[in-house]
Amino acid sequence: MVTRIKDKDTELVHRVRDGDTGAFRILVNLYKDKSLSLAVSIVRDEPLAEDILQDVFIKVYKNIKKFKFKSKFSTWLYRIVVNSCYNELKKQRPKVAIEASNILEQAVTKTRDKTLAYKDQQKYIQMAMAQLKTDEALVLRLFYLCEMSLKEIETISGYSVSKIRVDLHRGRKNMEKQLKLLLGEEINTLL
Amino acid sequence: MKEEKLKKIVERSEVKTDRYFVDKVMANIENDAIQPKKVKFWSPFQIAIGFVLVAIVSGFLVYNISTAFLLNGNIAIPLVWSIFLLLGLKHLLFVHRWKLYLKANR
Repeated sequence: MVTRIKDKDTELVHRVRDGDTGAFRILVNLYKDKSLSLAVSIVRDEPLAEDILQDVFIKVYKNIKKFKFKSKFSTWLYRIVVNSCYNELKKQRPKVAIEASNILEQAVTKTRDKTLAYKDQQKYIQMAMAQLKTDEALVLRLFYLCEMSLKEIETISGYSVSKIRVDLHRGRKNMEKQLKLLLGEEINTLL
Repeated sequence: MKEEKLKKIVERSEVKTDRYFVDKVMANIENDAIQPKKVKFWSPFQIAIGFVLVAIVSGFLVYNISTAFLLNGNIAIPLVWSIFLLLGLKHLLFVHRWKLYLKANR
């Protein structure tokens, strides 16, 4: 399955290099949501993350000839996303910190009477994720959502494998803790 | 929490982009391709720094080359150096004139 995706990506990248913008549209469609999730893990601000992602995809299109096929296209893309977000974060840090602290307050005031609908579940999961530390949220999403190996996460994030292992462990624990905090007993009905 | 369940939970934390996101990206790429490449000029500060560097490097080179062939204190040393600097200055003025010309015709 992974090889098939890799081959498909390689073929698409070759087509983009030959000037096929339609192929690039397919690549953007394939990776936009996962890339946005990673960006949100870092900057904690969805509109800002989307703006960064717009620039990232333009940058990727312009520099696609520099991609050497030494790694998967997704690894290369996610690395650009992560670097761009950290660069932006340096400029935006004070503003983002305030916005992140508001999320839990909103969440805790919500009622927990009814069984949660799918959309509500998704909202609470995103809220819980927003409460994690940047490194933990990023590593969790890279590992579970983007299905990257530890080695690939190391390439993308620049963290050492041992730090990634620790972040994964803490991320799992804290995610569960945050979900329990937000949902109480409802956590058992989740999924 | 079981690994499988956690995986599903994290998968559900995926944030979706705006429905017009792809169109916006493609429009930006097309706009970028249509726009002619802008000519980049150095700022006055960069020109000043460049001029000083050229003066130092050329002065050093001219002095060393000249002393290898001519006697110390020969008039050719400052003369050749001055020619180098004047050529550099002429080039900068040429660039500046082009900059003004392009601005006027934009």
